[in-house]
Amino acid sequence: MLQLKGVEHVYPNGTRALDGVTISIGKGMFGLLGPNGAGKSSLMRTIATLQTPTAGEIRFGDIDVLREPARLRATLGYLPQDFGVYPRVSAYDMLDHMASLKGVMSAADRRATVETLLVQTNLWSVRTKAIAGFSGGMRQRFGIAQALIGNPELIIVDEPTAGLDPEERNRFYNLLVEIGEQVVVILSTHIVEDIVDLCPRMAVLAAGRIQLEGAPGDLIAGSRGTIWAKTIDRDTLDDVKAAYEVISTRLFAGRTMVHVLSEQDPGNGFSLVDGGLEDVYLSALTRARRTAAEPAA
Amino acid sequence: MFRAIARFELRYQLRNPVFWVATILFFLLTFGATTVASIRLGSGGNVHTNAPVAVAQIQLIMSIFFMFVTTAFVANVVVRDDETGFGSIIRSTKVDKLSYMFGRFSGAFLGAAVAFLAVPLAIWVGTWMPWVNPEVLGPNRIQDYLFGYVVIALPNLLVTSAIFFAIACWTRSVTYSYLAAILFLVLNVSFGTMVRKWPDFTLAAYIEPFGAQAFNMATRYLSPIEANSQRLQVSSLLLSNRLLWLAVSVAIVALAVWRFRFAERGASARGVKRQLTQQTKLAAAKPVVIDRLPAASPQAAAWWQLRTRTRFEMALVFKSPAFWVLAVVSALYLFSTLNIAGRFYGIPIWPRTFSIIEVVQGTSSLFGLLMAIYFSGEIVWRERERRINEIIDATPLPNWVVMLSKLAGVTGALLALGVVITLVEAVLFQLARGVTDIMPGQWLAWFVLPNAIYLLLMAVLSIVVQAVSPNKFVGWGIMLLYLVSTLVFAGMGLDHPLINYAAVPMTFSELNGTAYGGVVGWWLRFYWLAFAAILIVIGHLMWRRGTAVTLKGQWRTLPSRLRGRPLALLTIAVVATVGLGGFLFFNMNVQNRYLSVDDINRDLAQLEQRYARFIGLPQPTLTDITLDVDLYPSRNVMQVAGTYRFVNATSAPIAALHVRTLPGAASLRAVSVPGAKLVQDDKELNYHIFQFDQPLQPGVSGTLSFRTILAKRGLAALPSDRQSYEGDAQPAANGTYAIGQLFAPVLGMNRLGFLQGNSQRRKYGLPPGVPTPTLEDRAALASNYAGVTRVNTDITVTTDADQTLVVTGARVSDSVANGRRTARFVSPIPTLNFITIQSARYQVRSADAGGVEISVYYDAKHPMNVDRILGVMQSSLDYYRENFGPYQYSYARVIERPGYGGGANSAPGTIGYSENVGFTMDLSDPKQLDFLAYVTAHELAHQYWFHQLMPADMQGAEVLTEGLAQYSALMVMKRRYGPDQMRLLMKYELDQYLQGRRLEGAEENPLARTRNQGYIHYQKAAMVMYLLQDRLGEDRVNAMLRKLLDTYRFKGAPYARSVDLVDGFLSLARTPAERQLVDDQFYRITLYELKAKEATVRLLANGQFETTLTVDARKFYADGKGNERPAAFDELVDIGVFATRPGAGETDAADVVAMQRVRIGSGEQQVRVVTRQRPVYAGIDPYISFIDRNSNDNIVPIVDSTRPLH
Repeated sequence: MLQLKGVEHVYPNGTRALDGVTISIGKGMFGLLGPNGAGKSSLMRTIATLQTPTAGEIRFGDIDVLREPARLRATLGYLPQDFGVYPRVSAYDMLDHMASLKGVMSAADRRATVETLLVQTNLWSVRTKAIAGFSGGMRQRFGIAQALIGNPELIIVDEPTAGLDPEERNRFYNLLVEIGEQVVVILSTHIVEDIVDLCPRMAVLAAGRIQLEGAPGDLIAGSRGTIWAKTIDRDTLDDVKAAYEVISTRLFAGRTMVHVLSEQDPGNGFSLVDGGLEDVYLSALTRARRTAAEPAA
Repeated sequence: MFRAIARFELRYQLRNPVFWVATILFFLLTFGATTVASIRLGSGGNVHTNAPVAVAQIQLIMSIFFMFVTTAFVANVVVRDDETGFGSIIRSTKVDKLSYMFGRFSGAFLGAAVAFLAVPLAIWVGTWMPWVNPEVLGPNRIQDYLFGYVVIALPNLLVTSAIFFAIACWTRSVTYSYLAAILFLVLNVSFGTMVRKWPDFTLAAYIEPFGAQAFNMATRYLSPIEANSQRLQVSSLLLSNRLLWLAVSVAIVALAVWRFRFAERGASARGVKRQLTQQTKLAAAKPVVIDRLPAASPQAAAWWQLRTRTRFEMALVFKSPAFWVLAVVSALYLFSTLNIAGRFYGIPIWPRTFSIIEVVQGTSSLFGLLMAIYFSGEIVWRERERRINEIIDATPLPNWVVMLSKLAGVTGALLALGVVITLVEAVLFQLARGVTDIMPGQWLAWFVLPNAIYLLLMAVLSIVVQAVSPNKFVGWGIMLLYLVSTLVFAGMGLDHPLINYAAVPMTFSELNGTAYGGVVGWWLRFYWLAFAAILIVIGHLMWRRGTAVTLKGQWRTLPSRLRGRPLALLTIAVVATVGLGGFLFFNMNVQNRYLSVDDINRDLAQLEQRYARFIGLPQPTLTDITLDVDLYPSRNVMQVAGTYRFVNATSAPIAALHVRTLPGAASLRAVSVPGAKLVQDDKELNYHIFQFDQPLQPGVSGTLSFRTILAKRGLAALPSDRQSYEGDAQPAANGTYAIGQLFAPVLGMNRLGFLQGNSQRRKYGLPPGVPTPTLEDRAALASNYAGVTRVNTDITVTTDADQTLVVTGARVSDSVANGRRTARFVSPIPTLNFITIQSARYQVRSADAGGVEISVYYDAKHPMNVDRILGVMQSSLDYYRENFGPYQYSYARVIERPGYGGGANSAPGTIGYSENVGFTMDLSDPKQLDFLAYVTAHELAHQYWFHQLMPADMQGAEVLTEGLAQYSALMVMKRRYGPDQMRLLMKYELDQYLQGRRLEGAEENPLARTRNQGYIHYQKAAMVMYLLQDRLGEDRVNAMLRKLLDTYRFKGAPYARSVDLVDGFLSLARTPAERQLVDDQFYRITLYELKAKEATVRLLANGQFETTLTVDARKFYADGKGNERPAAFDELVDIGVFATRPGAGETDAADVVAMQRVRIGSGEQQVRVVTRQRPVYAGIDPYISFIDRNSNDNIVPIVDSTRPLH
């Protein structure tokens, strides 16, 4: 069980990346959804002991992460959002080296680890190739392979599917699901479907704060009755935006479909829709923006 | 389109870090070369640092090294788009190949051209630096800088840009381009060495791509005045060279562009096949797959991780092309320096370990330092640059392992190249050169361990500097500053070993081992290791793990991270550093005196200021010296008890006796003069004055007794000045070479050892130096050149029983009792007061040379040349006794001593050789000059021309000592080896003389007035004496010399002067022309230009061959500054026709078809030679007897005029 209490992080330039994040994450896949710049990566890095928060507390089981980062690292698997590789090093050698860094000391153990992971991530046939020459999907699979070394209790994957084609993405998620049952897996993404497909629990992070937390199903159910839709002409969009709280606009057969957030029937031709997770997410963002705007006003 | 692309490319290059690194690096290199007095590229002596020639020369040299920068620029142009993957986008636009490629090439070339501006700029800035001696600077003229930049540098940049652009286009690889650049450099260097043997440089000047030959031909014999003042002209040769290579460059680029294909290259058929087999092999291997991954145990893995991580870091270094580039360059550098190491007159040495180890260390340290700087930057920043830092930092790798593994990785790579590979290369070199006795112990103790520690210290410094720098470039910059400081600190008087990081001076001697400076060296190493430990802790604490960790943040939180083990380690390291430093300081500066160069100069200045007024004060003359010496070599202690007997040889009473020991000598422990009392006792400058109770009357004698101890207390530092090593090392454990002035006082004050150089003298408030008395100064005839008188010596020495003693005088007794050897040596005749006491575990080989026992004392490991030396001693003594008169001793000894910087010298009956001179010379190639014979004969000749005939202390003194010793040695050489070796020898002497006069710092004197000008009294004197004996007759010259010797042998004042010798030569002259020749050689600076222009041969009706040789002859008189005026040439000159080219090493007497002495006048003229045999080469003065400014154009091939040319 990973627990964050009031985690704040302010960068030296004054940017408040995390603003009192308090959350508990149990075993299984946990989705962290948020737009770009919401503080997802800052939060991930903070949990992964790569940066020390300005304030707050992080515990994983009996580990006080901020006091004893080394203990957390011993049981951590981390796949950063964007990573490079050493030049002129093959996938096999690099995994072997990572296994060493994680503390798999016996050669036989390391061999088993490396080869099993290579097979699991479908990289066995290219194991002698330099990772620098890998395609995006292969590289991400290598990334997850290294994160799995040594059976970590906590796995953090930050935006793992950016730039992957659907097939690669699928393959990648299958891998994650396999391991996601026994340990804590935090998956950050800005793609709603990822969460729907994979995560029994999720949270929405925006402006450095947790805006919403729960099981996707519950959240969808909770949003029922608040999302309204209408198909309008494109040139009236600005008027609609002024009058209602628009959470999304989408082109549909040449006209524009708007979703608005409203506790009551806004009338005026809007009809209630069965909101998906995307609507939940977008309405959370809209609310966040609203609260962020209020103090300024 | 072309212009837009070129402009974009130029802007891109200007923003590239490579551009700035290169600009700064070349700025610093050039700046160093112009402002550090000891470097001075292209100038030196009277040639100004910013003379037109020097400004162009520096740019020439830098433009060659700049090749590696242009390669980076142009290779980047070609490869960049493929690497970034942007290529396909660009190539699919409408841009055409021609403007794309030419545009980019132009942009990159312009970028290089702009970066190279750093070089002229650095020269210019350098001329304004306050510490640069204004005497070596001339006016800055913009056209000089422009000439170098436009005529020399730009075309060179274009040539290299073009070549490596083409190679990058072809290989599409930066690495291959670099390898090609190295290959190109090697080829160019070997081409340069090769053409030096060519008879005519003209062809080479055309085809050499950098214009170095053409430039050299135009400028090499410029006098300093011309070099400083003349605007450089584009000689036709240089112009042709530049135009040729301009055309070649354009052609290369055009070809490269034409052949370049936009499309990416597919795999070759062979590549596909190879991949296929590899894939089947890979597929065949079955993976080990398990259900549950094994658990990790990071808690126990730290040390093991350190090892793995270190190996991984090292592997990355080994895989980087930069490592192999450096490895190849360092190997080339090593072999070329090994090859020239220790050479005199081009003679190689037997590369015994002790004699090459310094060169090997130098290469290892230089490349180690460069590698440490470069790879530390790469390694410390690698994770961040490769963006893999988050993954690595999130692993359970302990913090201390992170930095230590990087340190170990760099160190490992440094050791692999700097120690292991270098060692293997050096040993292979030894084996290849026939040295099988490779002395593993010496390699280990003198190279492997010390250099391993040095490299470790460099790795620590550069890693820690990177760890505390905000980025890689700042780190590199700091290390560059460190590099500069190692060069500059010593010059600023900051030469104490305790403040120069990792600098441990060492000495190497096979005789004495590391007994001198070895122990203190190890203490210094431990001191610096302790200091490095402090650095490591700092680096560890400042290491930035994770993202968003700033230096400032690390600094703020430092105290909290210091707690625990880091603090303990830091404390231990600080205590060790301070403890060791304090201990060493106590030993070096309190127990002993550590003298920086500044301190030494200040002492000399004080001595002069206080006591110069006593110069010329009448003093008693020393007549007898009795010494009792106890030598304890293993303890480096020598105790001396001595008695001097002196007499008042003047005609007036003498009131006071001045007794002093020279700077650097042991001070007097006790001194007494019966009948006199000590009235002044200056212990600081070791100057003591005794007042006689009754003034010493003329003809009356007195005595002086003294005791001195030559020893050091504890651990003394090596002197800052390497020149002082030899004296400072005494008494050495094996190979003691104690000379009288180290341990015995002198009587009276003189100018010996006064501070030299007017800028130094000014710095310490001294008036300009007193000039040497001129030839016309009759008063100067009273004092002799050696500054000592002839004395009777009686010296008894005891030493360890296993050592052999050789001391001034004849051996009277030699016995061993109680583990001590005692030997007594007594001078058979009064000899110059140059006492030497030598003791070592010597082998001795002796022979009889007509009643003289000749012996060589040598180390058991150096027997290679002993017989040769004995042979030369024999033939020298034969020649000298036959021609000059009797040899004064019943013994002649050659004694080897440790090579602490000394060379060869000649004490009474004794010739000293450093082990680096002569004993390790490899003379196995009979075609090589026997330089050892030359030196041995020269030193033995000093037994006549110094020890018998003593010149007065005035101008031209060295003509009588060195000049006549050169002459004597030449005659011995001529007799031993015939005229063929003489041409080789003369060519060396001529080149050395011509170079020497270019480097002259003050004013060149005519031969008869030379003073402290080695290039005149060795090299020019050899040329002149050889010419004169050739013209006037060897026998006649020898008869004249014998007479001269008879006049002055063992005589006191008035001493001989050079005029006596010149008069002797003039007395031999039979014609006005011969008189003129003698005058020209001794009283003027005379230079000749003899040139063979062309030669044709035709068959005469009588079946003989008539060769017509067109020659050109000129003569010049130069003044001391190098201003020349033409003079009429009218001499008998050798004209020769040959079957093979003389001087190529193959010519022997049979190849000389005809040789005639012909009267030649000024200017162009034709000479006809009729021979029975058809000659192939013809030449004027083919054996180089005149001082010819260009001795390479004396011989031409003969063209057959009877056959039409096709």
